[in-house]
Amino acid sequence: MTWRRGARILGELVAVLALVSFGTFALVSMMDVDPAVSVLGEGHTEAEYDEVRHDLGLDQPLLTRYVSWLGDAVTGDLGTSVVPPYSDVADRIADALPVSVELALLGMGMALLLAIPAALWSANRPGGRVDRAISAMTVGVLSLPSFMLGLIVIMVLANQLGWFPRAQWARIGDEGVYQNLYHAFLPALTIALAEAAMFTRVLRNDLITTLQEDFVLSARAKGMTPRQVLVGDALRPSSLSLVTLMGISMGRLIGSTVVVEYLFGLPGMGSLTVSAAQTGDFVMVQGAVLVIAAIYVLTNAAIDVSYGYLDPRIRRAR
Amino acid sequence: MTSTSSRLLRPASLAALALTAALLTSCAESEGVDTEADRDPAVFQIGMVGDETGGDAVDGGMLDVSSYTEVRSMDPVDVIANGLSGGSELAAIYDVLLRYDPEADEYEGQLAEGIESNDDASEWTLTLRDGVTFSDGTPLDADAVVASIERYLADGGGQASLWSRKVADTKAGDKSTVTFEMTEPWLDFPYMLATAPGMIVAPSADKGGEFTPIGAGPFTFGHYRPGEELLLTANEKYFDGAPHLDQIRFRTVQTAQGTLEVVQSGDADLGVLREPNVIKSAVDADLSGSMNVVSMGVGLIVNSREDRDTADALVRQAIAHTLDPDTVMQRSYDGVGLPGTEMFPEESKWHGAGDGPQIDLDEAKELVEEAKSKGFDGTIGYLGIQKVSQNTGLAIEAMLGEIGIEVESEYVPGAAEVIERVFVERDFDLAGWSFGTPDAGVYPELFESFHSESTSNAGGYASDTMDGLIDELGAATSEEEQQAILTDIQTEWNESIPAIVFGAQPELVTWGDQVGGVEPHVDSMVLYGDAWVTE
Repeated sequence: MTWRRGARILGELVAVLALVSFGTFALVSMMDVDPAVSVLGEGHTEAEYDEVRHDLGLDQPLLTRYVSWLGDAVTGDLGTSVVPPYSDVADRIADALPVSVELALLGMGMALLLAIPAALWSANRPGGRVDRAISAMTVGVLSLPSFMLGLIVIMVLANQLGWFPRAQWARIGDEGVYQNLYHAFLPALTIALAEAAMFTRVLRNDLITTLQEDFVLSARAKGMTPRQVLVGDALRPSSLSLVTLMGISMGRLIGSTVVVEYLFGLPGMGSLTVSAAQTGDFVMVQGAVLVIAAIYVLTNAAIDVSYGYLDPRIRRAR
Repeated sequence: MTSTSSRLLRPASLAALALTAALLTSCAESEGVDTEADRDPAVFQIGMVGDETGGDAVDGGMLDVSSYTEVRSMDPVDVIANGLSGGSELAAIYDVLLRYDPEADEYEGQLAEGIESNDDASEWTLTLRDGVTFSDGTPLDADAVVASIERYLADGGGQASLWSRKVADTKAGDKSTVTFEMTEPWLDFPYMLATAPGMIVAPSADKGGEFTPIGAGPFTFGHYRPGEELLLTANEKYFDGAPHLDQIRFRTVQTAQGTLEVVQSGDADLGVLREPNVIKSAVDADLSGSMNVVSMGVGLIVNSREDRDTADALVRQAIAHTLDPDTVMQRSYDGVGLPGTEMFPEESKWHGAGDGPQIDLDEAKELVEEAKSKGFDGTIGYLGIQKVSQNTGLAIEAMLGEIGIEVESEYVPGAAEVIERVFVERDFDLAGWSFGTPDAGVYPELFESFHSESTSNAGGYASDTMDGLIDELGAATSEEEQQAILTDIQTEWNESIPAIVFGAQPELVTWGDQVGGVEPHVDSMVLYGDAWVTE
C-alpha cells in the first residue's frame, strides 16, 4: 500500500467518523427522552428540570454542544454518563467492547468452519443431492430471525441437553479461558448459524464461477484431483465476495448483536447502547456509536487492503 | 401487561427508569408458558413456597442470584428498597435495622436489638446492639444511625417526604438508643426502619466527595460492572458472625422465562420473578421460594387534572365500570394472575375493605351519556409502549368502545417516554401503571400515590375526603382501626376512582434445592446473612 493510498483511507475514515458522530449527535438530541427526568426522577418542578438541562448543557445550540463534545472526544475523553451509575463512558465501553469483539470473532470463526466445507461440498457438484440439501438448509436458517435461532439453540443445547449454560458471561480474567468459552459458545453459535448460511451461499456461487476459469481447467488438465483444484486453486480467488461480506458482518456484529446479548444476558456493546438509549444517557450513546462506527470503518478499510493480497490482478491494477 | 410502576419509580435516580424498562419488557405478552385460566389461590399465596431446601448449612461458595433488575446505585438514597429494585442487594451490604417476618406479620430486631413505642405510637425508641461496627471498623452507634437518616432525608431518598411529614425529631439518646418523635401516632413506623431509611450508611461513606458503599451488613461491596454483575464478599466482622457464603453475585437475565430457566438449570441459584404465568410455572415445577402479593399491582393511572377529559369523575366511573380485569389478564398473562377491581385482593390481610367498582355496562353507558351532556367529547387517550402493551391497548379500545368512549391509543418506544409524559408533561389520560402496595406498607404507598400533597401523585388526583382518610390511616393506632379506615377508603375509591385496578401482582423469590437459609423480608426483599449454597 502506498502512502498516498494510506492517506486517502485515513481521510475517508475521518470524514465518515465526523459524519457519523454529528448524525448521532443530532439524532440523540431529537430523542423524546429527557435526560433531566432521567437524572432527577419524578415529581420535580419544571425549574428544577431546567436547571439540570442547563448543567448538562442541553440549553446550548446543537452545534456548540457538538463541537464541545468533539473537542473532548478527540482527546479520548468521551465524557461521563448522565444517569446512574455515573461512570466514565470510555471505561464502560472498555468493559463492553471485548465481549462484543469476542462474540463477533468466535461467531465469524464458527461460521467459516461451517461455511467453507459446506460451500466446497456444494460447488463440487452443483445441482447434486448434497448441493440441494445444503441450499435448503441455508435458506431455512436465513429465513429464521436471530432471536428464533437463539431460542432454538437455548431450548435444545441448554434447556434440554444441559450441555451449556442458559445465559450470562464469564470473563477470562475472572473465571479463566474454559469458563469463558463455555459461556460464549451458545451466543457465538447463534451468530454463526446465520452468518454461515450467508457465507455458504456466497462462497458456493463464487466457487462455481471460478471453476469455469481457464486456470482451473488447466489445473485439471494437469491431473490434479478435484479436492486439490477446489482447495488449492479455486478457493482463494473465490473468496473475494466472502471476505467483503465478512468485513461488513464483522463491523455490523460489533454493535448489533443486541438480540443475542439480550437472549443470553451478555454485557456487550449492543446492550450498552440500547440501555443507554432507553434511559436517555445521550453521552453514552454518542460514545458507543462513535466507537462502533470507527470499528466498522477500520474493518472495511482493512478488508479493502486485503483484496490485493487475495487476488494479484487487483494488486497489479492498483 | 404494560405497567409502569410507581412503586418502583419514586427515587430521584435513573435506577428506576432502567428498572421500569425491564419491568415493562418482562410484562409483555405471554412468553409461551403453559397456562390455565383464572385465579389459582393455591399458587399465589403470601409466604414460603415448596419444601425446605438446602440440607445442612455449609460454609463457603458463591450464591449466584438472577435479580429482577440491575441495581445501578449502591446508595440507599437512590434505590427503592424492595425485592425487585435492589433492596435485597443493599440489605446484604447495609443490613436493616429491623426485619419483617412475613409469616408472623411482625417486626423483629436485626441490626438493632429491637424497637418499642409508647402507648399511642407517637414516640418510638430503637435500641441498638452493643459492639456492632461497619465494615471499615467504625462503630454503628446511635450517632451513626441519626447521621445516616439525616443524610437520607437531606439527599431526598424515596421515602424522605413521608418521613419528614410524620417524624418530628430523631434523637440519639445514649450510644445505643435512638428516639423518634412522631408528629402524630404512627403504628407502622417500623416499616420505615425495615426499608431504605433503615439501611445505615457509615459516616465514612461520603468521605472524599465520592460515595463508597460502607455498611454493617453481612457482605461488603466487591465490584460492580454495569450491565454485567454486582459482586459482594463476606463481611467477617458481621455482628452475627461471618456469613456462610464467601460471595454473592447478582446478575440479570432479561426475560422472566429466562430467569426461571437459569434457576432450573442451576446456572443461577436464586431468581426473582414477577410475571404470574412464569411464577405459576416455577410453582408447578416444585421450586422453593418466598411469595409476596402486592395489592393494586396491575392497573392504569388516570390523569385527574382539570384540563383532561378524565378529570370528570363520571368519565372515570364509566371506565371503572367497563374495563374487565379478566379480559385484561387474558390479554396480558394468558389468563393467569390475580384479576379484580378491589384495592385489596383476597390474598391481602386488608382484604375485608370491600369490593371494587362492579363491571356494569348499562351503568357505564348512562354515565358516559351524562358526561357527554356536560361537554365530554367522548374521546380519551391511552398511553402505552410499542409492542409491549398493544394487546392491552386493543382490549381497552374494544371495551370502552362498547360504552361510547373512543380511545386514541398512542404507543411510545419505551418506559422512559411514558415517564416523561406522565411526570413531566402530564400529557396523558390513561397509562399502564402499577400501584403495587405491599401489606406492610399500605399507608406509605397510598399516601405517595393518592394524597394531594405527595410529590409522587402522578395522576394529579386530589380529594379532600381521600386526603383525610389517608391521614387517618397514617395516624391509626390499631389494625382494626386501619381496617375500618381502609373500608372507607375503598368506598371513596369507588366513588371518585383515583385509578383503575386490574388486579394484584404476585412476586416470587425462587431458589433451587442447593440453597438454604434465605430469609424473607418486607416488600419481597430477602436477607442473605444466614444463606448457604451446597454445590
